[in-house]
Amino acid sequence: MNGAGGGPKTVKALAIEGIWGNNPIFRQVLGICSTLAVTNMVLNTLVMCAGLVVTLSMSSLSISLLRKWTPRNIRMMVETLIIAFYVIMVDIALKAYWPEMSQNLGPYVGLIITNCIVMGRAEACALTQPPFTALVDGFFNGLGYSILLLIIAIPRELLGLGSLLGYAMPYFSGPYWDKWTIMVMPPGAFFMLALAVWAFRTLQPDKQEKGAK
Amino acid sequence: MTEKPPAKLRDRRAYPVFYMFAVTFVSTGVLIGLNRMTEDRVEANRQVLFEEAVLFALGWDAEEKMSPAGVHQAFLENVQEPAEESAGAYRLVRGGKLEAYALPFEGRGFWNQIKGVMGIRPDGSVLTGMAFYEQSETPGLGAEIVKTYFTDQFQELKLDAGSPALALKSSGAKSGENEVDAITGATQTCTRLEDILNNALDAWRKKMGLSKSGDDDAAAGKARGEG
Repeated sequence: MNGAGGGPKTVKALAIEGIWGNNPIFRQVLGICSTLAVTNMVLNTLVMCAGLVVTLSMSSLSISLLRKWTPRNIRMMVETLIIAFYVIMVDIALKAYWPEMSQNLGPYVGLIITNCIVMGRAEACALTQPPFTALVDGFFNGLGYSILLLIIAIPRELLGLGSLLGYAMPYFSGPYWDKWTIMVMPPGAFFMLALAVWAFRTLQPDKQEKGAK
Repeated sequence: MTEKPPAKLRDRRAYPVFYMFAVTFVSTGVLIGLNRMTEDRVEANRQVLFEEAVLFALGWDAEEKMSPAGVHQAFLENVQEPAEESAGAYRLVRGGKLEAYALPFEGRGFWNQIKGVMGIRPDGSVLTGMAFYEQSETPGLGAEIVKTYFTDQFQELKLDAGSPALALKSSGAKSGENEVDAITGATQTCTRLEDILNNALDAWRKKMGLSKSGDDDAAAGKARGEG
């Protein structure tokens, strides 16, 4: 993984890498479970992404701060604990201040703990890099994930329910549009994910050759 | 934290154990604190959600969305706690007159428990409304049961005297007065919901002595009544 090794990178380099060069979804193909699960309504996706960005940035920062004190043999336990700590915080905040959203997302917030991206960034970057680099890396990886999720969520909600963010859209909610219910059902997620990964990998051919070496 | 811990400490065999213990202790402590701080708020949210469901099921017509305090106020003023003679149902009493029962129910949906409230007229034959306050069905599909386009169908729904009291039919297949349109693409949720509702209704009507279901006692009673 490109994040590991070498000197500290600039914010710009980290941003490009997190969002484009080493995007968690279409490059690293991590965190696919939540990509499939929460992308059938744009609002849920947005909240889920916000939760992930917060968790990923903060846990990367904390893991990096503790990296010299953490014994190597128990580092994964410590990482999981720190990730769970932030996820539970997000969950508590939602329950207390946005109960409707907490209901909508159900168990998915808790499942951020097992999102491979968080652990992936902890292992690949936060364990070896200084705190600031880890924070920025976590943030932009979260952003890269969020952008892809939105690209998948918008067509799913629009085609499947005829709405965006819960608001009925012209034409798609009208009588001329036969709603594609399958788009909001699990198969729709697989179609959209495959299309998105295909499209982005086609736009980015040089990387693929490097990876094949 | 940017320096390594002293070698003396790091080389101790028990160091990882102490380290893990310390990290766990601190993070758990913070979370317990946070939980305590928001506990009342979470509980109040849950209570208001339930009260709102009760009012909605009773056909409460609020012009606009009520504030949490408004919901609580309206609930306290109009709804009476369940009692022996209402078989676990809340009662809407206005001007000393019993107008409707609000029966809380719950059962397993497709993913998890579905909890809700249904409003029933005193004679047990017509619903005043339906509301769900807890569910984790698939967003966009099963979770649509909370939307008003679905729950509004239960207002003034005539129940069948026998069992099942009501039915959820796929769109366009509705034939009886006691049927409502199910949600397309949420077959599992709807089938289970249908059972939950019918079971709750049957049990409640039996307890209330309003039962005219197909079981032997009731059938015998009905036969006697007719004879």
